Amino acid sequence: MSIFEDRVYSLGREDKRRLLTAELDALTRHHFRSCEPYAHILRARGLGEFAIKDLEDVPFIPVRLFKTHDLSSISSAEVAKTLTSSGTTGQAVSRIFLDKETASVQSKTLVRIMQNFLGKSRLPMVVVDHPGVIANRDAFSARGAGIRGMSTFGRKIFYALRDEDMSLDIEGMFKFIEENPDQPILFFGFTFMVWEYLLQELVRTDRRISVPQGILVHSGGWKKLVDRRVDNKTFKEAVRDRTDISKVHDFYGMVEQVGSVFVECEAGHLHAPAHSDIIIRSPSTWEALPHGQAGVIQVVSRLPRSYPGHSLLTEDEGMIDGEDDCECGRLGKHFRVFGRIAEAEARGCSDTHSGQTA
Amino acid sequence: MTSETDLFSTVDLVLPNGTDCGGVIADAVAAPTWPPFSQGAVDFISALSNLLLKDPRFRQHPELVAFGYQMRRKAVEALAPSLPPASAGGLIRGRGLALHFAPSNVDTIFLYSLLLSLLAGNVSIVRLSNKKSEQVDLVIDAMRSLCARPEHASIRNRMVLIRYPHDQRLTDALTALCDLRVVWGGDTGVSAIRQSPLPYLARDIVFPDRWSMAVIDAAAFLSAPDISELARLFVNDAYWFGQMACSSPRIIVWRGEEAVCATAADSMFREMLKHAQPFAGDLKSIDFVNKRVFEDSAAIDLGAKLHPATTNLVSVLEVTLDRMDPSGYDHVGGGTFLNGHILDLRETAKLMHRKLQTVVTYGIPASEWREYLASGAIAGVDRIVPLGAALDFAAVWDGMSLMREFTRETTIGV
Repeated sequence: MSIFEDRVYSLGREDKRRLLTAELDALTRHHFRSCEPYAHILRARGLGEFAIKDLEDVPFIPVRLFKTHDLSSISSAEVAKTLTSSGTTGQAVSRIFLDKETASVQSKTLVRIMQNFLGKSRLPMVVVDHPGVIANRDAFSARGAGIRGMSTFGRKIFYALRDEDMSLDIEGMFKFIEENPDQPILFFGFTFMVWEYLLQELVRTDRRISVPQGILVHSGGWKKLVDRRVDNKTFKEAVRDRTDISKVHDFYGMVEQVGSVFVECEAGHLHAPAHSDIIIRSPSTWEALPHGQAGVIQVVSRLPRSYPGHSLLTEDEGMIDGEDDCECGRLGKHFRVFGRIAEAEARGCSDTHSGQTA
Repeated sequence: MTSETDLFSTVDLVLPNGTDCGGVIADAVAAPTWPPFSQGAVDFISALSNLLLKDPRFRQHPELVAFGYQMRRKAVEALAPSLPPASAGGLIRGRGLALHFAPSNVDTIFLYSLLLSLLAGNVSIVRLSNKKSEQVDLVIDAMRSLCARPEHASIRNRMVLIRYPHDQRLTDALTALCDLRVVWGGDTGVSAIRQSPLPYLARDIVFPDRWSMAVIDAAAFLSAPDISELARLFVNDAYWFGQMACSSPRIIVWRGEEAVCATAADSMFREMLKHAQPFAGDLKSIDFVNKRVFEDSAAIDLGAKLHPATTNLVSVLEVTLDRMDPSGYDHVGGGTFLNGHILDLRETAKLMHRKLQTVVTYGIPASEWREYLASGAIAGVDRIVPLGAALDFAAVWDGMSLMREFTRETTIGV
């Protein structure tokens, strides 16, 4: 067992920087050799022969490139599965090429991280979604992939929403809770789905469930909830109020870096595990910013070997709150995500009627 | 007519003030066509120009002041000789009712379109962009106060400014009334408006997508008395409107020996960085991310290399000429340049295709451009201007004399 797996949340700052930087340096050279488009990018920036000494010096590429280019460091014969991001119709989706090795290391890492919050045994699990979302295996959509990934931690799985109309099967849920008394039940869903189809439905019908030992894990971003003026605190209060669940863990992750996710601790902070890290950069210079300053989030991970996704510039803004000093006791950087950076106003000559045509 | 009035009831009437849009449009339709350069039109335009130049409210909007300067009485009257009848004894008049669709990226364009049309003798209806801006509001305010004055009573029913969200039926109805339709807004705008059939006798003047570039003689540049000033002028060309106007140069081609070109480019970009600082605040996080995505995509798709002087504000990609054509990539603006070099002007022939609008140039004399254009080697280029003049609007635009396009000629053979 490598030190990363052994010490997911107990690798101190100096050791982590040294070990992770060495891995990322090796990965950068690996992808430089194995992925031609990636090599073009690095060469265009004057990088060729290199030895990366500092975490902040690991070159990064914009995550959006996975939507516009096929970036792979393996031959097509080695592709075991292709992940795609969810996207509304017409939007480009990311395509991530996994070989057996990368896929397996992603699953194992996810297990190591989540066990820290869920315990080692598999739990009865309520998925706040409809079963149809994973039925279509061709489409490895982010929602389906997320649910499939989390299902590893579930024993018996109950889907809380009906396929036909996304309505809450509350009787079914009561029954499932009754059948699994006096033990933790894992609830999982996308943040917005949990809010809209579980919590709001319980409010609308003036009902509640009681699962004091429950653990809610959710992800997917706050954009839709921010639009509705719902912040994390409001969300957690509603969860406790309607379900008696007090353990609530958001996590920050993306299809371009599956596995090494950033989970919210009991103190409400997102944490970088040993396998991955977060760097905040100033968009106007791309310099790394000190803790406490907001900027664009870069994520690095030692997992992506089949595609050059080990160092990515996201389109999210966030801020690092501290390192090795969270009250929850976990080591590593802890941070918060403010959400997607604002879209630019269209300014081209051709924008007079954009969005209004059709 | 009742249904038409109902249709217009959803329109936001901006000028004149009021709510009876149907009535205002009916008045405009009934207003007579004038000959060009009539007193009422010239007086109104110079009064507006005076206001833009003198009223302190406009001082923080240099583009409006520049517009005021361009439209001063002397300059407007100087346009008159450019509009002689083509036939002996012929007579020029306005076309009638002009319907303008303004773009949203360059605020002052609607003013040029409207005022040149007024000057040409037309009655105008302008559909303004729904993107409101302080500049546009200020100018409309000024126009309202001028229209209220008794000396400008004659032009009150000759200018109607409206806003409405895209509505095919409305555009159809307005188009049905017009003799001249002027469509700004690039390919998308033109395609949208062209869904509405034009009356047989009316004509379309459209401004589709265009792009622009700079061609600079490297040796001339390096021996210029003030290189920094040249860089400042070029920054003004490129950074206003987020580098997203049709006339914003996005490609720089240096002419000369490779080493000389490299030295010239190097000093240009280093000087540009200083002068571009005031524009840094215009760029948002998403612009910087877009630039980064563009740089990396260009490295993969165009074989581009980043120029060593590249910063987040002045992003320069070295690309060979054969891969510079903007149809091969999406321009992201915000100070993003493709940089290349040539030994001979003729190497640009393929790049200078029909969609190339403006060439900003330094150190290459008019005679050389004339000869190059006359040789028939290139299909594009509608303007060749000095550094600093890329965004100066003129009465000749996209290869058309707008006053001529906005008017018609009656031949008198008796």
